[in-house]
Formats: sequence, C-alpha cells, structure tokens
Amino acid sequence: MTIGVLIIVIFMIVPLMVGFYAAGKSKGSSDDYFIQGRGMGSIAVFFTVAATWWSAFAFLGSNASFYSQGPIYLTAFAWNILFGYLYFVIGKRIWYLGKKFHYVTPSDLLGDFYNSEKVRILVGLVVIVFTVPYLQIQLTGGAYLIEVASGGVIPFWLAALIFYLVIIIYVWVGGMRAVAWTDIIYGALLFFGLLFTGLYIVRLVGGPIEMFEQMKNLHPEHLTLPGPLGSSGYASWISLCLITAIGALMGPQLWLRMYAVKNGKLFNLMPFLISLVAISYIGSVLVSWTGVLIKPGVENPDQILPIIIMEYAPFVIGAIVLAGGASAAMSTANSQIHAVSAVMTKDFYQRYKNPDASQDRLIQVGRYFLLVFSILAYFLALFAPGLLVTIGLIAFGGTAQLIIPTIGALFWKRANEAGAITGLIGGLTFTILFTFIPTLVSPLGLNPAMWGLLINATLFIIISLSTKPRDQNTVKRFENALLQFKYNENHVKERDKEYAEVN
Amino acid sequence: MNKRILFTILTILGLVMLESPIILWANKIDPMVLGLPFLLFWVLFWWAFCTILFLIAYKFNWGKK
Repeated sequence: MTIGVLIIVIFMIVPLMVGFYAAGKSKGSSDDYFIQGRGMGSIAVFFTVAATWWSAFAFLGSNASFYSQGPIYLTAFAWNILFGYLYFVIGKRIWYLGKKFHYVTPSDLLGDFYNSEKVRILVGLVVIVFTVPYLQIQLTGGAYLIEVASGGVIPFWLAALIFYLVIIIYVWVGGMRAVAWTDIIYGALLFFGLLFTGLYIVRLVGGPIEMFEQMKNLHPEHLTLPGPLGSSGYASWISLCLITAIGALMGPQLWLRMYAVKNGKLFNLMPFLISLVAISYIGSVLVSWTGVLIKPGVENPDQILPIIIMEYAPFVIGAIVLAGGASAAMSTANSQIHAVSAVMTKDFYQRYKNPDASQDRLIQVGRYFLLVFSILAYFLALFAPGLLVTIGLIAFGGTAQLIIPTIGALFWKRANEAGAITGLIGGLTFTILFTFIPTLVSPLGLNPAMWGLLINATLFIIISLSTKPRDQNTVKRFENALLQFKYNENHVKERDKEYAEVN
Repeated sequence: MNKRILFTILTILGLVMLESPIILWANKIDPMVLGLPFLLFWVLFWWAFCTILFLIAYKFNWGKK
C-alpha cells in the first residue's frame, strides 16, 4: 500500500516540478500564457495534442466498451486517422490565419471572419458549456484511478482534490508551456501504459492468438458488431467515429494547440503521428477481451482495467499503469481548464469588460477563471458520475457543431453571419433535445449530433445563400490570406498586380 | 496524377473501407487472418494502410512544392 501512495506522490510532484521549470521560461505576456507565444516546438506539440485528445474516455472508456459492447470501439482506429487528417487540413489553415491576424481563441477567428459579435459570443458559449461536462469526466476517471492505485488509502473525494490542486498550481504558474511540458510525461506514460498492460495481461491466457481462439469458441458475439448487447451496430460505429474526431478537433483545448505551433511543417507530420499512436488501442483490445475470459460479470465496466491489473499484476506495475490512466485524465483536464479560462478571459473579459487590460491583468484574470472552473468541475464530479463514454459523446456532439461555420470560414466565400448563427442554433437544439428528452428517438439509430450536423450544414448553406453576402473588405482580407496560405506571398502579389492591370 | 490529389483520394479510400457500410461486409469472425478475427484484421489492415500513407505523404510534402 505504501508503495502505491509513494508512486502517486512521485506522480504528483514531477509535474509540479516541470510546471515550475516552465514558469521560469515564461515571457510575461498574455499570448505567452495562453498559447506559448506561438512558439511551441514539435515534440511538445505532438504530445500535448495526442495526450489532450486521449482522455479518461480513451483509457477507461475503451476498455469498458470492448468488455461490455464487443468490437464497436475499433472505430477508434478510424477516428485517429480522421482526426490526424483534419488536424492537417483544417488545423494548418487555422494556425496560419491565427498567426496572420493574431487570434488566440476559436471566437477570435469565427467572430472576425463572420464580422459579428453574435457569432463571437455564441461560439464562446458553446465551447464553455460543452467543455465543462467533459472536464468533469476526466476528474471522475482520474480520481477513481488514484483511489485504486493507492489501494483505497486515498478516498475518491481526496484523490479528486489532490488531482485538481496539482493541476491548478502548475497551470497557474506556467500557463500553456507548463501544460504542454507536463503532457509529454503524461503522454508517454499513457501510451506505453495501455499497450504494455495489454501485452502483459494477455499472457494469462497464453498470448493473443490463443485468446482470440478462445473468444471465438466461447464468446463469438464479442468479436462482431452489434456486440453481445446487440445495441452497438453500424449507426453507432459511424457516429462514434465522426463525432469523436470532429468534436475533439473543435474543442477549445485543441484549437489553442493549433495557434501555439511554431513551425507549420509540423502539421504535415501530424496525421502520421496521430494515426500511429492508435496502436495503443491494441492494448485495450487485449486487456478487455482477456477480461471477458478470466473476469466475466464485472458490474461497472469502467472498472475492468483497474480490477484486472490490480489482481493479476504485481502491485508496483499495477500502480504505475493506473498512474498512466490518471495521466490520460490529467493531460486532458489541464488543457481544458486552461483553454476554458483563456476563452473567458479573452472573449468575454477583455472583449466586453476591460478592453484596455494590461498583460499582467489578463494573466491574473485567466488564473481566477482557472480556479472557478476547477471548483465547478470538482463539485460536478462528486455529485454526477456516470458511464464515461456516454457523457463524452454529449460533450463532443456540442463542440462538433462548430466544424460547419469553421469549414465555411476556410473554404466558402459566400458564408455569412446569419447562416452561421442559424445553423449552429439549429444543430445544437436538435442535438440537445434528442439527447436529453427520453421520448425523442434519434432516427436510424444515429447519434443526435450527427443529425445536428446535417441540420446545421443545411441551414448554414440555405440561409447564407438567401441573405446578403458579408462585408466585401472582410471577404477580400480572408481570401487574400487563404491564397497566400495556398501558394506564397509573391505569387499572390503578382496576381494582384495582374488583376489591377486588367482593370 | 497530381500527388496531392492522389494522397487525398487514398486517405478517403482508407476511411471509406473503415467507416462506410463496407464494414458490414467485413463484420465476421472467419476467415481468421494471422490469428485475428476478420473484423479486427480488416480494421488493423486499413489503419496500417493510412498510417503508412501519411508517412509517405509527409516525405513528399503532401504533393506541394
């Protein structure tokens, strides 16, 4: 038991040290605090993006899903591919525009493109409202793992409290830089932890091939859709893939990580790196299906990995692996708290309350919001637990709706304010109603957010086309910027010259 | 063919193999390939396809000069 507590203490102290070291490098500007002054290096970007998007949902949720619902979570291999590819196609453009026009938050880009305060406020609200429930899952998952790893010495409420204190302290002092650097440690622990556990546990039944053979003979329903419960078929397969990839990409924490990148070339490599780390999910497959064979009937499937690892592996290994799981949670939670406080500070406080705020004042306000959201999420975690996958999907379903106005901003000149607002409100209303009102059943078994996206896109196009175009100056400014992105500055200058000569 | 278009088409191909209703055709246990149930093999195969594709695309700068 004491070894478990010791491992947890190390696990808490190391990030604090990294955080204080990062704080020593800070430059004192609000851009530095929120997006590391757009100077984040490649290794930090990769780990902070990957670890931020792999959350407790990936670590505990994946095992819960393979264990109780069959192969549906295999769709994760595809969502890593999709996410990586979108990060390249959309993320690189967002990065470029952010650098050119000095954006820090999602609202900065969308509000500027649609030239609208309403869009700005709506986007700010969407990212906050849908990030907080997702934040609460991280806390619940992480605190639960700490409780188990300590052998029950640290109770849930205390684990959650320690969990947050550590994050608050290093984000408070070090901002984005501290988050990214601690994510390198968390990321490494998380990916190796999951894969290692799978390879270790599957030996209990004689290796992977033997395990699949036994599963085929004893539990064939676990190996094909719609799984043993019969509820996870194709509709869930495609919903889960699209909503997870898009919803995560549009979350404020990932958005800030597009602005923070130093070298644009890194975006070209990200699809490969993000796809590659999906290999860790093989660990989940091996653990969970071995679990079906040796430990059937676990009541709360979220607990399958902790239960197996504590029972069948030496305590030290178990505690390290569970610390890896807590890493998954912390690396997401730290980024979310940081991102939400950035949005509140820049989009609401600075924009509407105190436009002349000094750099120090902005950082200070960011820190207060950090505290407020942490306390809020703490109480949510104590009083509202649930199956991790379900809550995660609601949160992703909300932020996913932002993809429509974003694609509009990047690829469609005719997009306008009315279209963006109507689309977003339509999509969100459908998603929320069909998620929370039990009598409303989403057609074809698809996730409500999928229909939300369809309604959103349809309204966006129709209303944009039937109302008057955006202000021509803004259109021209973005068109030029995106052309420069596509070719290079000289090419665009020549083109403008030719255009001027012809006219 | 323009490399950039080729990379895009191949990425979409990989995603279609994994996320279109084609997956229902692959949704079976037999034939087991390399000891893996067929669905798992199928998913891993197309995942590996896309991952390697992304590495090659990176090497060629996604077809951009």
